[in-house]
Parts: sequence; structure tokens; C-alpha cells
Amino acid sequence: MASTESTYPVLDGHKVLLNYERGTTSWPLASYLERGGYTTAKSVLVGKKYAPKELIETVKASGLRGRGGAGFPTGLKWSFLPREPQGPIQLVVNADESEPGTFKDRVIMEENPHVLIEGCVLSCYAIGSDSCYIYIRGEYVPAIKRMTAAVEEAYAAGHLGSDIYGSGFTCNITVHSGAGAYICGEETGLIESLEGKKGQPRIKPPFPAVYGVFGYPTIVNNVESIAAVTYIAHAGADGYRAWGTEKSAGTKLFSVSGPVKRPGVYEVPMGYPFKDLLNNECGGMLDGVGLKALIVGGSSVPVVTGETALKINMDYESCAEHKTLLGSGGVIVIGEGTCMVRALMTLLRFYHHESCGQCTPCREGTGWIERIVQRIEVGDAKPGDIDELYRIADNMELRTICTLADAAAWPTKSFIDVFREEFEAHIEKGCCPYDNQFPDHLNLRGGGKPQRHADPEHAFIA
Amino acid sequence: MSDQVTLTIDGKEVTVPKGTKVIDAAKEVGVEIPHFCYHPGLPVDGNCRMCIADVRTWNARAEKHFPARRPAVTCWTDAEENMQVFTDTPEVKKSRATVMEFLLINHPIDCPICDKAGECMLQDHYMGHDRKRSELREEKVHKPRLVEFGERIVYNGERCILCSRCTRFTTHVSKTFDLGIVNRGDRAIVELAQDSDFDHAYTDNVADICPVGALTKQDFRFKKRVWFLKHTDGVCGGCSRNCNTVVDHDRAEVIRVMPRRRDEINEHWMCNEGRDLYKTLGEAVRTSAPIAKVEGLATAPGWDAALAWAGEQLAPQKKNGKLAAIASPWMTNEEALVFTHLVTKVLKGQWLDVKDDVVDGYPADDLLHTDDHNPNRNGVIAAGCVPGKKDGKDLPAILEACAAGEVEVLLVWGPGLVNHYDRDAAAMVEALSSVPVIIQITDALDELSELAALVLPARNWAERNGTWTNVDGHHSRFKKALRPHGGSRDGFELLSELCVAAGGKPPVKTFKDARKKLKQDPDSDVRDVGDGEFSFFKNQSLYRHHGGATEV
Repeated sequence: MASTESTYPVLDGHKVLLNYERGTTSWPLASYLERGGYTTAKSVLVGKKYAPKELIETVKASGLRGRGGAGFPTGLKWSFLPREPQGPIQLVVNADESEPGTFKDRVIMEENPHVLIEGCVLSCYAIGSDSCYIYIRGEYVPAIKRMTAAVEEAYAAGHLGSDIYGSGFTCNITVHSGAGAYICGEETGLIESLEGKKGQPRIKPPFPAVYGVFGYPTIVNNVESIAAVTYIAHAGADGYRAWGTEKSAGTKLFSVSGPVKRPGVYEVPMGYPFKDLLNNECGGMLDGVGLKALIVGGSSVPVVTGETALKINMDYESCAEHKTLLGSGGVIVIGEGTCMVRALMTLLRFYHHESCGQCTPCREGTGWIERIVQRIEVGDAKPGDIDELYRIADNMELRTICTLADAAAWPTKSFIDVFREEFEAHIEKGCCPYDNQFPDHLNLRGGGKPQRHADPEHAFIA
Repeated sequence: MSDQVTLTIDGKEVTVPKGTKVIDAAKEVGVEIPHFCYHPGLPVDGNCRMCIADVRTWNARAEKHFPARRPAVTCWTDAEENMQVFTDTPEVKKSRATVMEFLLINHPIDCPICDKAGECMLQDHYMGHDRKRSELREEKVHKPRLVEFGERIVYNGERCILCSRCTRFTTHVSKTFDLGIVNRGDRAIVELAQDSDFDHAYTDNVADICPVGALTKQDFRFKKRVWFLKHTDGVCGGCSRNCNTVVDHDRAEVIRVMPRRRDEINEHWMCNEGRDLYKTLGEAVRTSAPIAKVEGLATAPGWDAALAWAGEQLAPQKKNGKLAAIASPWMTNEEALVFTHLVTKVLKGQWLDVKDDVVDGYPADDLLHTDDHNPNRNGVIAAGCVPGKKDGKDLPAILEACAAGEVEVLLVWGPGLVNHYDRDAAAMVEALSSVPVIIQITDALDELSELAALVLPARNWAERNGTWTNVDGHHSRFKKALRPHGGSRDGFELLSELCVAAGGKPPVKTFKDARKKLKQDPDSDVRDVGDGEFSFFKNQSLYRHHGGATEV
């Protein structure tokens, strides 16, 4: 009988998910097996390292918090499953990574897909599920291809399917491609989309743990969370807690974009100072560009000034202390010379485009605030408009089924809070002080878009 | 645990069954929570966010009330034991004003040319919860207008607030899956499914439940401002379902017929055929006074002479036993009661049956349509319009007897005997020609009226009070909506006088007594409103005021 000891090399002392030389062919099964791949699953399934309940407790004790943005403890989420579930429990991996500035899951799926698959097997084992869906956003074509190929490989090699390693445990993974909607990253929106309906969040309660995909109890977790379960199962709770802080344990992937020398995805321990992330991992700002502002965790979180940014440690508490959120780890570095109004306008265009249109405040509000910011940017606004913008953003908050409206309101409010003088400068000057050029397709002054059914003949009839 | 929960809403305590939504519980204590997307007949969607209230749940362990982390929509929140709901706090009011503002920024506010104006929930809630000027300085979002959904419904995307009531109706009630919301965000619109013609029988309901003027009925478009309409409780006679309706009329003309909520009969819905029934009112050829075709009586004898003559013809039949009577399933229960009394008690007649007034029609379905296209067969039979036990003759037997010359007096209610009865019309006319005296009491003239010795004009369904009994035995009461045609008389009155003229006594004196005698369920008088669908009843005074001003 083969050994059921697990091995899991850690690169550079802290790289768990990206524990291979970047840029090499790290995704095939052979490469993953070299890195101790599937030994953890074997140790749990065959070696009975943990009973399912113990594995949930281990994940709970590890302090792993959901890596999708909300930071909800993963182990706690699993324990919300009803004791007597109605129907088979489902695991859904949320790979609909669409938050602007976030591209960390993509790296896992493209470069290390098997760690996710192994994480799925272990998670399914823990929550007592035999089927798992990986919902990947439609635009991630390479990721979908790699994931699909990896799942096939894993099936062929017996790491997936029925009776894995003769342990009697069955786990099937379905890779599902979304159609590219931000809202399908919201867990109930994702479930609706997975069921084949229009991706619109469901009203809660019931939460997915009780009534999820196809009406079955469902656990929805982010790619990074599930992938991290593999290492937690290998090293135990304390092994994972070796990194990070008391309340933010483990390592985290950060996707850094903006005017830095080496933008990209980096795995660092939680609590790693942003300053070090910027200077060491990313090689500092581009020459001659100062750090103006920072969005720590994807476009939805409040923005902070460059000054504050340098004080931030990359963990949940330090971010909260500086009035922002760690979010999904989509670090957007904003350099000197960037017009913050324009930056906000770009973000709001995204939220306007992606609002599902279900709840009134979000449906009407996202478009409205976008148009006001557009007007400020082109210098067509009056002084009262900034307060008006703030008021509308405030009104959108907390009044909707899901948090998309909040996600549009938070950056709006924080951009005004932090960079108010820049908004005022736009209004005073009557144009953008940064001399921005506007591409035609933005259609800034018109505000409208071509209509699908516009019928000029009936334009004046009710 | 009991299945009842007690909670307080604005300080008022209310006990409701478990699973009741807070918005319904609030209605119990007279607190109306404004809403758009919520409809008692549809699954909850919770998208309009208008019904947000301050809901505090009781935490037994902490012995404290906790507010919801996200403000709760009361249409989705289940009432819980010891819950506290506040619908009147400044935050709740602000929340409503906020939602109103968001709904109105892209709304065209074309109320002056909108058919819904006056019964529009957006208008009502604007008056109640917003009353602010628009802060929008941007151009509004433009969407398609005048999109035809089938032949009966017109969609205006700009007025639409995307509450999804119509799509939920076609998905969950009519189960035809015609409508859906396409596109995202503020570009979203309602669209007709590609393979749908939207031509089923229940399409007009989507316009009824539309809280704004986005879906309008071709039949009602630009026809009448709603504040000119008078609303009378009606019952649809299109089939034996007896959908409860509101007959909207103005100046002796029915303008439209809308469904009225009656949970055990039609819930909130009604079919298109029933809505169109009022159009047939004007088609009938009617007489405004009795018509006689006999010697010894003027052609237009007047009511007194006509009734006296009829009494003279009928009275001897008590002994002769050569009277046949054919009732109609369009009679009210009260009329049927007197008719039966006249034939079986006063005149001791045994030859009595009910005919079909309407034979052809749409097929029965799962929602409302029934097989019988006459409204009150059940009620008329229950009142006793059946062949007598001894020597009784049913309808075919009566007609045979007519042909054989055995019938001396034939008393017929309503039109339709000649044409709709399942035999050759010419043979029918021949058979009926051999009856010496035919007395027809009818609201519409037909072939039989040519043969009748005496035609007594009665009133149609829009002109009289009464009760019908539907296919499941539920009673529904309707009221007089229109001024009666000419000198036509109410059937109940007319038959009562005929009883006297034939030498007897009417069975009851008043309508009320008739209902008591018929043991009708008390619910038939209940108007079940207050779900926000008939907000125009409540606000009628307000709008009538405005309407009155513009009318001058």
C-alpha cells in the first residue's frame, strides 16, 4: 500500500498556492505531482487523516477567511449547512472573478489548476458533497480551457470520479462557463446563472446553505479559499496560522495593477506591509511617477491616499483601521497625474453596465451617478453637484438585494471624501484640470446609447 | 410551538399565522405599507424596495430586539414572534422617498397622456411619500415605446418600473412564459418571447397588475380618463366561473370591466372574453315596452294591461296543467326563486326546465374558463327550476309537447331558444308556432319574439341587482351599473307582479328575504379589496375633485 503521508513544498518560505517557478509549465498533472500533488487528498481520503467534521474544524481553526472579498470565515460558512440537509449538498467554486483590478483566481486556474481540484475534493469531503461546480467567468477562456483539461486529467488519473483511491468517496467536478456578468460573482446570482436563468441575485434568506443551486444546500466559495484548503489539510490549522496575523491568517494573493514596475499577482503572508509589496515584489513605482492613491481590494472598496497607503498592512484589521477594506486583493495603484474624477467615472461606468437591473436604487442609481460624474469630468457641473452625488450614493447604499449598489456607492463616497478638492477644481475650472482626452465612444454629453427598438416614427406618441 | 405569531406593527399588536409576510400582517391592523412589485396573487420578488421598514427581530438569548443588518423588505420578511416593525420612522420615510426618487428619475412623467393616470401606484406613492421636485439634470434614459405585445397590450418601456409583475404573471399564473425582462441595469425592458404571440385568454391581466402605465390595453387606450369612471361591483356572465368584476361606466355606457379580488372564485384574474362581454350589450335588439301580438290587446299595451292579460292566460293553467316554462341560466337566483314559485306553486306547473342561452364559446382551461358559457345554471337549478317530480317534462319533452300541440301557454325567459337549441331552427319555429300563447320575458329580441303573443322587456346584467351561483357553488352579488333601457322592468319585480296577476302571492317581499330564503353565503356581499390593486377606490375622492374641475 502506498504511503499516505502528504508532502506540500512551500516556496520562498510563504508561497503556498504559487509554490512553483512562475513562467514554467506548472499546470499539467505531472508537474503538480512533482510538487506533492494529491498526496494531501490521499492522506485524508485513504489515510483518514481527518474525519469530515475534523476537517471543517481544522479549516475553522486555521482562520481562513473567504478570499472573494467579504472575508467571511470559510469554516464557519461550512458549518451553516443544515444538519439534516434536504437533498444532496453541492459545492460551487466561484471563479467568476470580475471585480475590476482583481485577477488572482485566474493565475491559480491557469498555472496551478490541480491545487484547486484537490481543494475541491477535500472541501467536498469535509461538507459531505459529491458534486462540485466550478463557475468560471466567460471571458476567462484560457482559464476555462486549462481548468477543463485539468479536470479531465484528474479524472483519467483517478483523482476525481467515483471511489477515489478506493476510499469509497466520490467527487465529480463540472466546469461551467459563465457569460461574463459581474453580478454572477454574487453567490446567489451565480446560482441562478448556473441553473440557466438570468443572473440576478436571489432575495435572502434562505441562504444558499439551505436553498442553493437547484434547491439543494449549497456552499459557494472563492477559488483561492478552496485552493487554500489543500494546504490547510496538509499542514493543519497551526501550519497555516504560521503566516499572517491573529485575525487574518495565512497567505493571500494580491493582483497589483497600475504604474508599478512589475505589476502582477504575488503571494504574500497576510499583514505584509503594502510598502514592501510595492517596493519588493512590484519593484517600486514607475520612474518619475509618485503614488497618488490606492485601492486595496478591488474597485468596490474605499480609496485611500498614497500617504495612507504606505501605512497599510495587507490584512483585514489594518485596512479597516485606515477606512478601507482588504476585499478581494485587487490592488489598484494610482499614480500622480491621474484624474480621480475620471478614475471614478471609469469605475462607475463599470457598475452602471453591470447592474443587473433588479432593484430600483441600483438600477436607476448607478446610471445616474455615472452621468453626474461624467458631467463633473467634462466641466459641466455646478457646485451643488458634488453633494448631490454624495447624497445619491448614500441613498443607494443598503437598499438593495445584493451589495452591487453598495459596491458602487462606497468608491463614490470615498473618492469624494478623500479627493474632494479635485472634484471642486473640475467645477471651478469648467473642465478637467488634467487635460484628458475623451474617446468618442464614451458619448459623454449625450448620455444615451443606441436604442434597440427606437422607432422614430413613433417618437412622440406615448 | 403554536402556528400563530404575535408581533407589533407601529405599536399595534397583531397575531397572524406563521409564514405570513409582514406586509400582510400590517394590513390586518390597518397599516398600509407602500409597495410596487408585491402582489398578493404572485410570488414575491422584492425588487422595488419600496416596502422597506424598520424590522426588529427578537433575540431570546440576548433578550433584546435587533434591527436587521440590511433594511428588510416587508413583502419577503416572515412575521416572527415578538417582532417589532416600525413603518413610520424618519429612516423609513427617507427610504421610501429615496426609492420614489430613483423610480421617477427616468420615468417620462407623461401622466397627462397616460391612461393609467388616476389609478397609478407611482402617482399615489409620489403624493404619499415623495412630493419633491426632480433633481435630475441629466438626460433621461430612453427606451422603446409603443411596443405591441400581441393584439391587446401595448408596452411603453419608459414608463416601466421593471417590477416584474407581468413576467411573474405569465410565468406563474398563466404559465405561458410570454414575457421576460431582457438587458441589464437601466437598459432593462420587458420583452415578448420570440415564439409567443401573446394571444391567450388572460393577457389583459398584465395590464391590470401593471402598477404604472407601462402596459395598457388596446381596448382602453385613450378612451376615458379614469377619474370619470364610476365603479360598480359586477359579476362576469361569460361562463359559469362568475369572476367578480368591477364594471367601470360613465354616462350610461360601460367603458371597461376589470376583475375584482375574490379569492375563492377568480382570485385577482379575469379572461379577455369576459372583459369584452360588455361590447355585446349594445348589439342586442331591445324593446322598451311590452309588445303584444294578440287580439284584444293593443300592440303596445302598456305594462298594466300586459301583465293583466298575462295573468288571465296563466291563471286557468292551474287547473288545465298545460303550462310549460323554460327558465334561463342568465336569471339571477332571486328571479329564479320567484319564477319557480310562479310556475310550481301558483300555477302548479310540472313542465319546467332550464335552457342554454349561449352554447358556443371558448374551451375550458385550468385557470378560469369553464365549459358552461351561461353564468347561473347552478343557481337556477338550486332555486328549483327542474322538471316536476310527477309528470314533469324536461326541455326536449316540453318541445315535443309543443309540437304535439299539448302546450297551451309557454313561458320563456330570455332569448336563444330557437337558434341555440340543438335541433333544426325551422323545425323549432314550426313546433313553437303550434303553441297558442307564448309569453317571453327577455332583455333581447330574437326569433322567438316573432312568435310570442306577449314580449315583456326585462333588464340585462348591467342593469339589475342580483346574485349568481358559480360552478363551485359560490355566490357572487352584482349591482346595477347602468340606467335601465326604456321601460324595461326588473325581473324580480315583474315576476312578483305576475304572481299576483295569476292569482297568487309572491314568495318573498324583498331581495333581502330572497337571499335569506336561498341561504346564500354572506361572503357574496363582501368586497375584498385593500391589496393596493384598487387604490383608485380609496383615492377616488381626490381624483374626482381634479376630474370635476377639468370637466367644466
